[in-house]
Amino acid sequence: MADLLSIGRSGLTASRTQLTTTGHNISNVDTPGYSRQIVTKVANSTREANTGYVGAGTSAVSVRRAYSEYLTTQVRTSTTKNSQAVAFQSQVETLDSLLADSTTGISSSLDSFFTSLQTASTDPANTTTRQLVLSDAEALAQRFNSLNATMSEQNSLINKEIRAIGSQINGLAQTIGKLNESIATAGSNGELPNELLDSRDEAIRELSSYIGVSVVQQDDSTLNVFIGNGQPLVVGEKVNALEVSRDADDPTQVEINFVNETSKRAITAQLNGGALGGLIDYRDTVLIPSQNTLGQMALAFSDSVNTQLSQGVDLNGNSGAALFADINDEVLMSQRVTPSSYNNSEIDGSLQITSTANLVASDYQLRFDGANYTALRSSDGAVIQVTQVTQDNQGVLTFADSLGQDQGFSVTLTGAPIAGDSFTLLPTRQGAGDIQAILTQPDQLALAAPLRSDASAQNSGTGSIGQPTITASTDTSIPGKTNVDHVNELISISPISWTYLNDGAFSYSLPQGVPDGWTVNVTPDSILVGAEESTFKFSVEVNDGYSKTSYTLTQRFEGAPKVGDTFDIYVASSLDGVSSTKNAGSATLSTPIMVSITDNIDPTQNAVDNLSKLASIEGINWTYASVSVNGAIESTLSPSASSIPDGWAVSFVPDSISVQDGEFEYGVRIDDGVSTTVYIMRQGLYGSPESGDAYETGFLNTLSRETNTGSGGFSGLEVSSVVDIPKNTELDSEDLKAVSPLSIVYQEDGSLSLTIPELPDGWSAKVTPESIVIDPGKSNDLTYRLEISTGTTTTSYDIQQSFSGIPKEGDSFTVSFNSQGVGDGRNAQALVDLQDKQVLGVTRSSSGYSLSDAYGNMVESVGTATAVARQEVEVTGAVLTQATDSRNSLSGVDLDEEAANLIKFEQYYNASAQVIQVARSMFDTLLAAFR
Amino acid sequence: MSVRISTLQAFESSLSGIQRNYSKLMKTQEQLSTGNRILTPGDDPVASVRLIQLEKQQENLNRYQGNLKTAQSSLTEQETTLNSVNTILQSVRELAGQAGNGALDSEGRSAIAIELSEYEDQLLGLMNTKDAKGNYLFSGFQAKTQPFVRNSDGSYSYQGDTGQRSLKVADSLNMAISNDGQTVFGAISNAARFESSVVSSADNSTLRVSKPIVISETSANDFPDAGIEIRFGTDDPASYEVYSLSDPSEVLLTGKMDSNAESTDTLLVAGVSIQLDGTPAGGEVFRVQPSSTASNKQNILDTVSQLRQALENPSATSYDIRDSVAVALTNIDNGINSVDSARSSIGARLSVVDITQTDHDNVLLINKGMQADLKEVDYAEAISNFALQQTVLEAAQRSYVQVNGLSLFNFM
Repeated sequence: MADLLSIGRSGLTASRTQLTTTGHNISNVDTPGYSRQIVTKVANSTREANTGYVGAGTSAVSVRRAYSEYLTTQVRTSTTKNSQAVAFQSQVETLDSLLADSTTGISSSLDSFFTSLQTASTDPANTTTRQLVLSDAEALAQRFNSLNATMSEQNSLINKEIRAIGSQINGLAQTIGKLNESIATAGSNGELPNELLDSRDEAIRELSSYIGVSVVQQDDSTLNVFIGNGQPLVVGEKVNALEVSRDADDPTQVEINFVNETSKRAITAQLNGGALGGLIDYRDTVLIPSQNTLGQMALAFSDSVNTQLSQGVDLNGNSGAALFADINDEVLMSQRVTPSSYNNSEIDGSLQITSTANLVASDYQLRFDGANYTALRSSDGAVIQVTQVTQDNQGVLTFADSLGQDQGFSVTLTGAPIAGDSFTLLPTRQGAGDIQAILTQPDQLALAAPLRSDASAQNSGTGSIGQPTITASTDTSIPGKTNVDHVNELISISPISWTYLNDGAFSYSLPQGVPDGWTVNVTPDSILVGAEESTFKFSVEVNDGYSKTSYTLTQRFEGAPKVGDTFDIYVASSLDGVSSTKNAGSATLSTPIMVSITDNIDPTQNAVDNLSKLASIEGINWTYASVSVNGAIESTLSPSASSIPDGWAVSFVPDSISVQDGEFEYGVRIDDGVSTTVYIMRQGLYGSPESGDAYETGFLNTLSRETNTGSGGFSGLEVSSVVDIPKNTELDSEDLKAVSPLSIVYQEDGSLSLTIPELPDGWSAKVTPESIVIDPGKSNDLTYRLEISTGTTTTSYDIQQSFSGIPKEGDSFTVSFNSQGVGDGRNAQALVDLQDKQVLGVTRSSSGYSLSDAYGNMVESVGTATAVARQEVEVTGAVLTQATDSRNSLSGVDLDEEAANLIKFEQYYNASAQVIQVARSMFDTLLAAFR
Repeated sequence: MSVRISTLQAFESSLSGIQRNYSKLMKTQEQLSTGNRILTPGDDPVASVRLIQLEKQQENLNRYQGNLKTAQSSLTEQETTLNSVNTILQSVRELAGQAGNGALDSEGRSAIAIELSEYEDQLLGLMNTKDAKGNYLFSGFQAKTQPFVRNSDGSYSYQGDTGQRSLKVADSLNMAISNDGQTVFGAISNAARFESSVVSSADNSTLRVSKPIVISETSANDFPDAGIEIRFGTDDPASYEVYSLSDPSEVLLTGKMDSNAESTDTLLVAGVSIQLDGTPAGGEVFRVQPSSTASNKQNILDTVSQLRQALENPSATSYDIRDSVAVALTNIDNGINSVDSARSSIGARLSVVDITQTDHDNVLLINKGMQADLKEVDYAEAISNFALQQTVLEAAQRSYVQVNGLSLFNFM
């Protein structure tokens, strides 16, 4: 029978195909990405006239892959995540073990430096112990250097690895593109080439281990591959490329650019996943912050040690030499600023560290938009206000965050930038690499304090004087001024006038009367106000030549101002006494001067709340009366408050002032229900008043000028913070030698008088106060200021010492330069105390932390990153295994199954052969019938 | 339906199981071999930071302990020196007592003077003692400056300062480890800081007024600043009135000398003692005022040297000797008091050293215990973990071989 024969033959053919496929499966059992193949068969039938459909054998219609797109995608995404975690972990483990090790970490070197300083302080005259301090300082500097070098090396290795991964990605993209092309061609005739599909899936899986991808299938069976947030790496057979190049902003790093036919742009920040994502993530979140923190530590450490040394005297009686290299060396300063390679201008800049305590461990990005500078702090993305001030005829940029906190550095650009220019500022990055111990002479270590006190041997009382400490030494270039207190300082710069300009912003101007030599900076210099009510916040930095103080002020603005409207802000009371227009006399009341403020709850409380309290009573009304009592004329001024808030009590001491020689002092006692504050004020009445005349002393906050045409108004002035910015200078041993000995003699009136000895020609010196009243038998604190002028420079020293016991008249004490004081280790002790002193991270809201705290924080954050990374590797590894298992469960070859198939298909083949045999014997039978 | 397992999957999953078990085992092994539970901060970030803090505390405490040792040895050294000074001063006091014996002739006195000069040299040596590092004990901050030197006129002066070297021995405790020579030996109240002068004398008077001596420092505070004047009566020559020169109208006290011219009468005004000898003729007036030559305070060496010089003087009368001896005895007592008070202050500080040392030892012990708790491996737990992990690994290896040896092909 021909039919049976063809059925047998069809079975034979199909079984052979199945056997071939099984053999193919077996031989590809460990081919990566291979999906086992299955032969699909259908049963054939033909229609017969009488019986209907009769089977006509089988045919193998296709060989298809055991494949699930869902499972393949799952493998791909979990591969991306796992590779990222593995790459991150392998990097972070290196740093982690480096920090922990006592030989590579900072902590033990830091401890031994302070220990040898401590040893030196017990025996400062000994050169051997001093030498030990020098060698430990050098060892510590080298630890900083080598830890920094290891971090830099890791950074450059990461750069190399990123380059290598970049070319891998490009190679895989090319492969995928070619496979797309072949598949599209092969698929156009209906059947899909299984092996090419497998190869392409495998290539994409490999790609996903380097970078996160998303894959979109097209109608012609090609796959489009996208990276980052939608950059098309492969579209059909068209392939774009990644290019790894030096970062335009940060020369120590590489960035990844996406290149297509028309453009090239940096996409580093948009990439995620895969080994590339892991490396970038590690670099940005662990490596760079750690290097910055380490740099911040090194800077704070070397600066605070050098500063303390400069406050002491060495074995030879000279002021202390620096132990570490200057942090503001010209070369270092210029290395901290990098102009972007895209800049249009050619200018560069230099960054000077002004306060290591205020530094933040972060990079900054400075931009110029043609008019203004803006800056971004990389560590937290905070917007930083940039202020341009003029110092030594140069524009210097200072940086403060939104709370007005100075960032501890300033930048000077070498020329004028062009709009669009940007600069990368790295204040702390290389700090740990730059620290260097430079002192080689152990006798130059300033371990002794500069001053000592002696009591005269002939004193008959029991008075004893403590050793003096210099609490501040300030370079005062402006002679003849005193350090005024905060209130008077604010009075001196009032009013600050804000004028509304046609660009919708207020700009300020300072009063004419700012004292000579003072510098006042108001930031920002222009404030945009909203349509309705808005808060007006600005800070005023006042440098009176002695100290810098920064005041932050806020107030509300309401209403609609017109261009040119000006408001005068009296930061503290400074309004002239105003005479009533009805006055018959010609006397005038002078400007009040604040003498003191005392608060019963907290006497040390700063002027902030107290001033607004005073402002609340708005002003004082005075009435003059002159009456004749028993032939003598008594003239009195009686005060009353202009306004008393509900629940407050205001009284005046005395309640009536007898006016004799013009000037008078009076007290204003204000009780707001919480505390009572007493303000002692001084004012004068000059001229010839008449009985019944009235005057007013105003405490207005803000005055709107009469010429104003708009309806705007300020209210609610508050001083929200007052921060003194001390500026210490190195002490000058020549100065102190010249004024030695300062003699302190107990006087009959119970005070100590301070007398400066005869000075060299051309020198002058002043001690304030010249006499200090003490309480005999109690412990007294003597504080005084010594101002020494050599004719060219003036330096003032704030000195503090204790005094106890009962002195007798004529008992004398001296304060003199500590010459020959080789056994004195007080400055060494002060150096040792630096270990626990909060020398970095000082802000308005935080008192900062010590060096070991800073190191501890760094170790903790790297340790946590490591612990998280290990967990991440575990988790993503488990997910990847799960996904791979699921995929393999479906697509993988099982040899047992294939062995069973071999047997099965061989039997089918044999059976089909038997069918042919039967067909042949049927045919033979038929032929025999005809014989 | 059972889950289909592909051949590759079977190999890979059993292999990764073996690898995982092996790495766990290796970690436990490393913990066992180092003795540390935390190998890197990543193992326990919080404990790592706590450890850094504890190590710093330990370092600080060790430093304080070192300082305490330095303080102890320095204070003990001073104590020993001061003890020797005290012994010498006692001997000088005895010699002064002997010299006060009126029966002694000038040879006897010069023999005592020779002995005194020995003591003087010894005292100078002790007061200029150096420590093992070559620093002077009693010179204040000026460790390399010799504190006491002998001037060409035989007097002594102090070259150091009044600085006290101090050490930090606890977080909030600075301990003074030195005493300066001026306070201990130099600024000693001088009993001979007043002098008497005759304003008017009388014929036939044998009255002799001795050198005034301050015998009570506290009472002497009330001694009139301008001095006193003593006037003998004209009617009763033996009686006298004492006036304050600050307020000449005020009679401070009145007295009367006894009739025996041989016995010595003592007049005591506000802690200042004046001895009166002989017989007054009446009308004598003399004053006692702060001395124009002697200083308020005088160092111990000058006291000894002045006594020696007085004894060496062959023409000294017995009155002169008596005055000098009286001054010397009071001044030596003052000196002994000063040295004693320095010794007791050293003793107090030494006991603080002991207490602080014990404190630090206790804290160190706690510190080390806490470090061990945080850092060190619990061996019992680690060893049992190790055994368990080893068993698991072996089981995984065995089953790997067996499972993967199974194949249908083996039976074809």
